[in-house]
Amino acid sequence: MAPDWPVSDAARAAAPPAAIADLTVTYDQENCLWRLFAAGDNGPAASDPEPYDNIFGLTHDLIGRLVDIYCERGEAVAHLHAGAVKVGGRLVLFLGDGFAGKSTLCLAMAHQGFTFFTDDALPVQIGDDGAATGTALQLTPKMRLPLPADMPGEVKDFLQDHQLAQIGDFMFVDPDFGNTDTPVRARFGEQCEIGALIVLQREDADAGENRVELVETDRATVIKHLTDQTYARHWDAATLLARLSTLTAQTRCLRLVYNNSAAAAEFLKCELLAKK
Amino acid sequence: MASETRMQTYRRNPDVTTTDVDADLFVVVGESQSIFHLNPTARGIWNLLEASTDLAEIQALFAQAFPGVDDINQAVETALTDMVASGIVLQSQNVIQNSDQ
Repeated sequence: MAPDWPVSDAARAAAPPAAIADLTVTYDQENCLWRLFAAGDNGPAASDPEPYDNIFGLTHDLIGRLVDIYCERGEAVAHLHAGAVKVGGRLVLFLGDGFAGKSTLCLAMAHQGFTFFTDDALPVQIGDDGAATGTALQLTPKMRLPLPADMPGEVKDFLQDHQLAQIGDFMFVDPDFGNTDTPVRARFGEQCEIGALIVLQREDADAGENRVELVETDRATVIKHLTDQTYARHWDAATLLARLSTLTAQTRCLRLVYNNSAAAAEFLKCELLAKK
Repeated sequence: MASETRMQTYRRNPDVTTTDVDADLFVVVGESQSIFHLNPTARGIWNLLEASTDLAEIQALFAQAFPGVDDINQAVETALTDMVASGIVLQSQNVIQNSDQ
């Protein structure tokens, strides 16, 4: 899930890092349950966190907590749940809920050759002037199964050919599509300025022929999505709102209405490169 | 013999900060650290609550401003209830002594 994260054995290090995230994983062999305790939980007797019966659920939670901690260490960094690809030297962010199609669209864009940053988690640094930079974490993208009905058969076959693992209802996909010479995925720590914020509005694939429409949208719509999808416990709410307000003032705010992810990716390639 | 009239009055929570985003208004409730976007009805109520007032007065002003809109009273009451529940607006009960003659 996070293949190239820098990992070291703190117990063996000559000089352990000064601040280590206090996260503890336990495994209950009798009931085959995993639990993740954060600092302050004081073990199972205090407040039992939600148990996981599979390593995927635990790992997903653990990665989310680690990204939160990583962001909290940077004063102006927030953890944004969004998809992101690099188009014309700037990041395009896809915003939406769990079924908006962020992963599908990001992989479809990667298939077009655009650098894949993330389909889910992006640390974003927002300056006082609204200029914002996203950082790649090199997380492996995951697709919810079954694959979307709007996805053409050849794309489904292509993704399945590059499937790394299937755990529960999720399929993990190699975003480099096996191309190790010229990887499509951004390397860990790569940074890029954010150029556009796109709210996804996915429509019923059975509605008729392919529909793709990209329109300017109001900042309030984008801010509502961002406030729902941004985790920054180290900021108070007024700071978060002020930073999102300046971000949206300095960045193109768009809405993508679509019912076919492959057609949408092709459309975005033409539109965004033309207007960059 | 004097009688009493109990009246609910509403006022802005002073622990709320506002941010204008173009034509929209967002508010932050200090205690809960929650962010809310005010829809047009809620924004209208927020503007009226610059001074403390009661439900009937707010409804009357909305009815006057939007004469053709059905269920405007219900819309105002619902929005106000939501704003109180969210901590954006504070509610208090005033007791008025009536002198019966």
